[in-house]
Amino acid sequence: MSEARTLSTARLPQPSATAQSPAPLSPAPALACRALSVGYGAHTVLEGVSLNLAAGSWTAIVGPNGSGKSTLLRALAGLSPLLAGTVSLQGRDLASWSRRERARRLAWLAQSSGATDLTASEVVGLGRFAHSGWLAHRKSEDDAAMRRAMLATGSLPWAARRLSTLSGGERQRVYLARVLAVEAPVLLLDEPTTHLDPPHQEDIARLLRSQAHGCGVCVLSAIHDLSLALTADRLIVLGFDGLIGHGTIREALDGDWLSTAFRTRVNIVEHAGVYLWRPALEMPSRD
Amino acid sequence: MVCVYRSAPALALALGLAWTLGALPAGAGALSVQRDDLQRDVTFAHEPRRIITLLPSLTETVCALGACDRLVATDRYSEWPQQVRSLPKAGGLDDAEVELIVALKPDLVLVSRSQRITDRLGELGIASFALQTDRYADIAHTVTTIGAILGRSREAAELNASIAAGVNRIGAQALLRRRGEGPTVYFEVDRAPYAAGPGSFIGELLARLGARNIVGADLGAFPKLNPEYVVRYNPDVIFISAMDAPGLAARPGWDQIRAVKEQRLCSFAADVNDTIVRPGPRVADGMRAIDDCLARVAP
Amino acid sequence: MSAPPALVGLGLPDLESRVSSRMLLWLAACLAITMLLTGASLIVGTSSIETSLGWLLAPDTQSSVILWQIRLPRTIGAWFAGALLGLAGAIAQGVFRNRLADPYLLGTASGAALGVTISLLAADASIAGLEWAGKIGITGAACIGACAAIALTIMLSRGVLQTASLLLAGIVVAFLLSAVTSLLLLTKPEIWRTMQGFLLGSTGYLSWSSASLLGIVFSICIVPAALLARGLDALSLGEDTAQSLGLPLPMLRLALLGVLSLATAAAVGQVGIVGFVGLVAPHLVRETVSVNHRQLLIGAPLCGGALLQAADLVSRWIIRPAELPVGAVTACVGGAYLVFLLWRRSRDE
Repeated sequence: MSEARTLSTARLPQPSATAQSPAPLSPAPALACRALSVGYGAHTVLEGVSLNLAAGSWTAIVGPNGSGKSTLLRALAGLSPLLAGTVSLQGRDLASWSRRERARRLAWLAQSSGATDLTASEVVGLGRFAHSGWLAHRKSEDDAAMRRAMLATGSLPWAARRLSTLSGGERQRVYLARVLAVEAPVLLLDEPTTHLDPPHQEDIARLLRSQAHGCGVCVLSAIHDLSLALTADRLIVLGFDGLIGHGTIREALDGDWLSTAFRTRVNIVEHAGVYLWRPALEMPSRD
Repeated sequence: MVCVYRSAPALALALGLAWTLGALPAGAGALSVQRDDLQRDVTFAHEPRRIITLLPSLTETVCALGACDRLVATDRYSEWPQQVRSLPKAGGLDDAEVELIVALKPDLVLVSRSQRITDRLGELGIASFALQTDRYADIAHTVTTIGAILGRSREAAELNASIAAGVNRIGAQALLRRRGEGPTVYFEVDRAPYAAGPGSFIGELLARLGARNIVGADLGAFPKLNPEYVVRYNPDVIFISAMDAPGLAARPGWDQIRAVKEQRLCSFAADVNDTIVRPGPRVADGMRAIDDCLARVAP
Repeated sequence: MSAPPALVGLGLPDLESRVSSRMLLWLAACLAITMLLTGASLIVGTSSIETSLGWLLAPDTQSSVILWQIRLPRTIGAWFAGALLGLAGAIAQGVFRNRLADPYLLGTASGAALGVTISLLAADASIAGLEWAGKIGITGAACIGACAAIALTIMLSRGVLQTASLLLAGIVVAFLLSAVTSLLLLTKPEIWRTMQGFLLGSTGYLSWSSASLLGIVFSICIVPAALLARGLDALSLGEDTAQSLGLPLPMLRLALLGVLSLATAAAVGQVGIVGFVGLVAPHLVRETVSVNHRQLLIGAPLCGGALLQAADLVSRWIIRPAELPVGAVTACVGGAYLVFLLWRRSRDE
């Protein structure tokens, strides 16, 4: 579908005016945490994590399986109880925001969504829940937001189709549209590129970058694919022992955080202005 | 069995005969083969002395034949006559206690046709005999059969005669008392509503008393009716349990029924109810109870 | 299947209106079927159709009683009971996110049966028991039993927070109360027939007061259900997603379970335990109209009402003037429908 792939030229979802984060000159980061400890029951996954995430930047969380990427995201989204520490959203403690206000300012994409048979437009419409509420009386701004989100993810052609009739990749783009429709200043995404084939992964990466740079959204995503993660602005590197480092890509590479995190040699090469992960494999001999 | 001879020659003849017959297998006088309701032919080498009954009507029959002292245990629900209440209880209709039965070493266990225990008893080598009493005609059959097993055929014949006499007398009195047609009745067995049709034992008793059942024979013995049916056929008398009687007027449309409007309702106490619901030797008592009520509410 | 190019420019509302027109068609069809069934219920019963039609034209006191005091409230009551069960089933399937959920998941059926058993035993045991049982009636006892079972389930699962523990607690409570009921029945097997009548469901004694009660409960339940429908949609995306969208999950679940409990307890009290209506009605709506809960929570009651009305009609017609238990009819129909679903699934694979 060619029209599905035109992205950056289309009008992109903007964070709604009422939920606009404070002017960039304000010192309060969009999302921050202090001495955060998260875990399940007796098992602590992360301890003493302090982060500052500014508006207008895209941060990628990387790390091996089990290092706590999803756990960290859920804790920052306020979905898991904290063992210790605080999370603040736009300068205020997360818990002090009302549920509705928080939902308008912080949008979260799950790693795997529940099986639902709603139509794509109904799913995207749910993204406007924090704005339009229980009665779902759709105002024109809700429609506009939905349309923008669906255009941006290229999911508009199947707006009337039920999710069960879509492929995994198509469904993932509908979920992404749902998240974008919230038009929140903070976006937390857990593996946003699952099920997507490489061209669409690239589209999503470009979309996230334009959300951050173009619309001033604070984007935080956990991404498996190292090369894709390295297209972000900043990295949070988690290892088995906790947070390895948080900083720009350059800082991560200089500090060889990735090798520490994965406990093995991780080769990153730069090529034509892009960072790539190079697997340490020889080319297969042509016998 | 003891025969009393009044003359010495007769006595000599009897002794001689007994000595001749002594050559035959012992207890030949009590040998019998009876077919039970499961179509099994059961051989009785001698009169059973230790009997367990697992059905109240069978308990009543055994006692009515004067063999109550031979009972060693009954089922949980047997309550008549008074003396069986002190006997050990061997469970109910579906959950007879096999261990207890075996421990008591009975000669015979009397069961109903539908009890599952008969196979188990057979495996354990305990004689069982199945008798089913659903209708009026079955009562005489059961009495005769049990009489034959117990070696009390004479008492059995007498009992049958007295039962028949009692039933016929009450029926005749009822018909005499009544001028013209009998009242229309509805006998409710359960609040669903299940009615007693003419094909049931209760239905037979009602028919003998000249009462006209609003339920036709084509509906079976215990049909589950549409409640509207009773409203439509407007019986003169309703037989109902004491528990359900107060709620009759609350049923939609039932306050229009003559029997409900004029409170012509018949309820029976539990022990009386047993004589009506269970076909057994006390059938005449049950019939009298019904007739008394009919006489009272629908003279 | 891509949207026509013109639609892309027009925006989304047009798609919604296309779906709603399907919903309107469904509504119209349901109402038409309901009217038809109500009419049929008036002429079906112990009398032949000719006789019933004769009654309509030339009424007398007795036939008026049969038509307007017995048949009409019975079919209306059946509709409301079916609607309540359909609504409860749709809510259960949404809250538990399982298409095989039915209204009795929280142990309501066993609780109601136990309530009825206790009431029957009490009536038999003493005069005081008889009075008390008479005042509450089997209806009240069933209702109380159902509510008690739900309360027990929620207590066992320590609140409504975990769906999985709610389900488990519901199963445990159902088994437990069933066992207690069986034990009690052993002490007095004569009430077994009454219990069976209750367990198989019966619309036989629905009066105007029953129908009004059911109608009132239905109006009380449908309003919050329609309001909370969107929450169920969000819930279908996953609990975390729903929470991140700003949904107050514990309150939502509590409210929905409250509606579910009230609807089920009221229906069970009046008509006994009628299965499959709560399971099949939401399925039918999903297959033909939409999965959107706003439409599902309106469509499922309408479908359920018509289903139970039809079952009531069949139960009165097939062996007239005797009657089948209505639960047996719904079980046959429901069972057949499930078999059909299975067959269709295996054919698609």
